[in-house]
Amino acid sequence: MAPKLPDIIAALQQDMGPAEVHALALRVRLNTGVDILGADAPASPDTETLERVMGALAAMGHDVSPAL
Amino acid sequence: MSGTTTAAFRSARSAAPDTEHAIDEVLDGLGDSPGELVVFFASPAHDGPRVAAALQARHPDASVIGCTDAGEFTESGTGTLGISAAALPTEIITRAESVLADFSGGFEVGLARALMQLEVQWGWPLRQLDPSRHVGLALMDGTHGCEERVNELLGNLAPFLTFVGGSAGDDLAFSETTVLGAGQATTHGAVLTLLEVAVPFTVVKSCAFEPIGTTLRVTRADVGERIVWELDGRPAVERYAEAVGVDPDDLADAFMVSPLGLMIDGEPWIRSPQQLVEGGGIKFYCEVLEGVDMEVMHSTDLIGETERAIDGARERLGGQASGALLFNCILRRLQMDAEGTADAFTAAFGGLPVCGFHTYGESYIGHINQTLTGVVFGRSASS
Repeated sequence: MAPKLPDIIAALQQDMGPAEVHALALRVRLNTGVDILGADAPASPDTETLERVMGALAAMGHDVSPAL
Repeated sequence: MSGTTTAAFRSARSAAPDTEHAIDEVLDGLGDSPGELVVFFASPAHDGPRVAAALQARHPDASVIGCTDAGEFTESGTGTLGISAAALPTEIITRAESVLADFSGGFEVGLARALMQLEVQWGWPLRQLDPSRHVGLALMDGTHGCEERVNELLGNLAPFLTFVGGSAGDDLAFSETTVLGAGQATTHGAVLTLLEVAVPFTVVKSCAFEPIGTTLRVTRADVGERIVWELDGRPAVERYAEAVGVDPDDLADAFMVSPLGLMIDGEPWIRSPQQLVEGGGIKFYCEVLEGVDMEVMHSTDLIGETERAIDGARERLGGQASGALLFNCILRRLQMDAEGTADAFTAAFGGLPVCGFHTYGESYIGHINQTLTGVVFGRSASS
């Protein structure tokens, strides 16, 4: 089953605290346009959006796919 | 020559084309008070290492950093082919450490080595420093497209610290830029400086754009080359031109006032197109990822927004600002040149001593365009 945004956040929180995840989320939003943590986070992002977020995270040094 | 002195922050600018003459004017403007941090921005027509050496000789205990530019400014005015500089004493900056990251032998190795050196010099991991007392400056070369990678690694290594800065310029030649720091210089790299600040400080980010209500999806891009090939599944030039209502042949003329960007919490974050690319693509001043939905923007009141940004910073500092280091996009300078508002730009600082340069890109959280970024320093309670 495809991961959801909360799965991605949970994967990130395995390695970093809430404040660091928050800071990372802003950088992800600046790169991808997708809010993964805040009030504008999509309730049901499509697969393409999730792949874009995960790709951006990987490029930023945070590959979450092994944890999903 | 012009120079300004306050209780703490000194700025100076010279428009002299001769380097020795310009150095003399800048040194006169900065005065003799010791600086913990000395910053300069110089036209590539000047001998940058010579400028750095002269400032270091006058301020032997200071970290001296600088870069080439596409114009420089202080609160007294803005121009090209000159030098701007600032000296920040221990009343503002209690400690400054700089490293030069040279990417000519490889980006990853060069940056990792520099950041490790910065932590060794500081004696403490960057991620453990108090972000209310520390801020970073990032001066990057403006022609190799490494800014996104630098910002990402800084964000990972120091997620709680703010780094602001700009990409060095070369008076619009787009050929070679230079950053200088730690007694060295490179045309392919960055100078990273960590500051321990004795006074309150705040970051400014100002850009004068609003969305026109049209969103374009990037459907094909060469991220590394910063080229967007398709928007909404159509050739980028064709779709962009349609969105801003111009003929494709005239699209480049519309770039300055109609860039693309993201709206985040009501704030525009700009991605500026640079030039048309044969085959229907558009090269940008920063990376644009496939799949991103970007708003078509339209310029508003650059001078008014600048004034509001500086006023807002003053308010956040309790009305007690002592000076600012600012990084202003070259496209904003070109817009001001076209509109005849260069004097209004520096007047928007309201007399606040500043030192800045016109950049090939601005850094704050990421690499952004057509923006004014910087750090504004407050005053100590006793001053």
